[in-house]
Amino acid sequence: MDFHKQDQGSIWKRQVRDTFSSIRLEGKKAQELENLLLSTELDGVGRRRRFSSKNLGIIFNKLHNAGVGYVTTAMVAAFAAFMVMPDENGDGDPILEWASSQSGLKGFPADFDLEGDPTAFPELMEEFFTKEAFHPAIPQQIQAHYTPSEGRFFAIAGSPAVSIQLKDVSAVQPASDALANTPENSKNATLYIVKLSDAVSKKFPKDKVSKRIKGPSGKVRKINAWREGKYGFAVVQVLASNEQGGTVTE
Amino acid sequence: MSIFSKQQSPLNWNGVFVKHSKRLWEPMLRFAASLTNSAELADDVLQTSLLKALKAFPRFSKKNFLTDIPTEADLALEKEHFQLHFKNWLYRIVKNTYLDERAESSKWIFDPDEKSIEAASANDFQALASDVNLLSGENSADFAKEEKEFYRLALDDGWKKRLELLSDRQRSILFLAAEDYAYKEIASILNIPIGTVMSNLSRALQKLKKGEESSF
Repeated sequence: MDFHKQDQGSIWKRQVRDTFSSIRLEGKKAQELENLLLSTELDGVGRRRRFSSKNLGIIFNKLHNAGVGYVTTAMVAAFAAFMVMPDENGDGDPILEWASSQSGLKGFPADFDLEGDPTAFPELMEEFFTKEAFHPAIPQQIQAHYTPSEGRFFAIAGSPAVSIQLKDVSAVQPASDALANTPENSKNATLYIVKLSDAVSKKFPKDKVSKRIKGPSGKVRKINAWREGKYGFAVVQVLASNEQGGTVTE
Repeated sequence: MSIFSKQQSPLNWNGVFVKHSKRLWEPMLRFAASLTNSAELADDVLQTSLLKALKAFPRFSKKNFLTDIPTEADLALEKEHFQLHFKNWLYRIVKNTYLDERAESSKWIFDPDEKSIEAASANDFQALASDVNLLSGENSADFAKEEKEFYRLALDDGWKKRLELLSDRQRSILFLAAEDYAYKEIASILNIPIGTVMSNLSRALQKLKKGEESSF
């Protein structure tokens, strides 16, 4: 009886399999594909790898703890690493929220690293997400002044988002002044990109915004935020003490 | 004898990729066909998917095998559990390629009745984890009943025509289930909650059942 039941369950599977097995890849087509794949040049092979294996280990541990096996996809793993940003200001200014949550996000390990391979970002997103879901690009004007490095995924009101550390290009050059590259004096910044879903779109400034915000620690952050297509962008930079003039929002 | 014998030059990424993916091209084509419901479109999806996968292959290797040396990746892919992971990864790329090339892809991703994990927050992920735990519970018992029903109905030769009436998602879930993928693996490949997999599979079977009933 048990065998009969088990067999009943498998027959429909066999019928479906048999139906799809009639779809074959012709020998000529397979040969063309093989030639194409063998002759395709891979860009960027041998450059520094972008994923943080340490963090992936943490992500996979999370998944195992959640009862998900090793076959769980990297895409799900990426979403498992999403963190809901602290909503300290409730329905307040999202720019303020970003600024205030910046230190919180840094507590999490990086999900990927673009250093040594800054052009890999689109490819990285393509692997993790469908284009419809989340496929932002780092704006050209940012790439001209900064080198993207490590990044982290998170979510705002259910929308996928990413933060990317930006290293000031000029700071990479040898500095005569030993203090020039200290965190306090460097112009390193953080880029935040969020998909503008209906929920996020209502809160994100419609026009380009540039403001200075003083945090609880007394540090002043300069924030530029703007929209471009389906995405909202914000660049947050901690200002050096000699740059903190102008109007500051407490 | 393998064309990648020791007498030949060491394998590069392209060679390793072709060596280990080639046996999966036909299954990938069938999976693409289950999504597109068109052999011609499936061909296009397969080619694009393989090119995307090839370009991402060194990164996949680093992430999963912790190596950026092609010959080491080649050795890793000899292991059965890595082969399964590799296959799932390729299926996932097929699914993403299909969605990217499908004009109304947002209808799938942002179906208001079936919240996609693409819009998931940490809380949603917990819900997904709960779904996983439901597998051995009441839902799977209900599903077993559906399977039994389908067994009876599948004897009808007309079921193949009704298969084409299923939505792309239902058809692809049916295809993967027929390949003996577990629900959580299907959820992972299609990037949808496991509850959605189960409900869609159940609905797919119901559609096929209704088709037969109406034919009487």
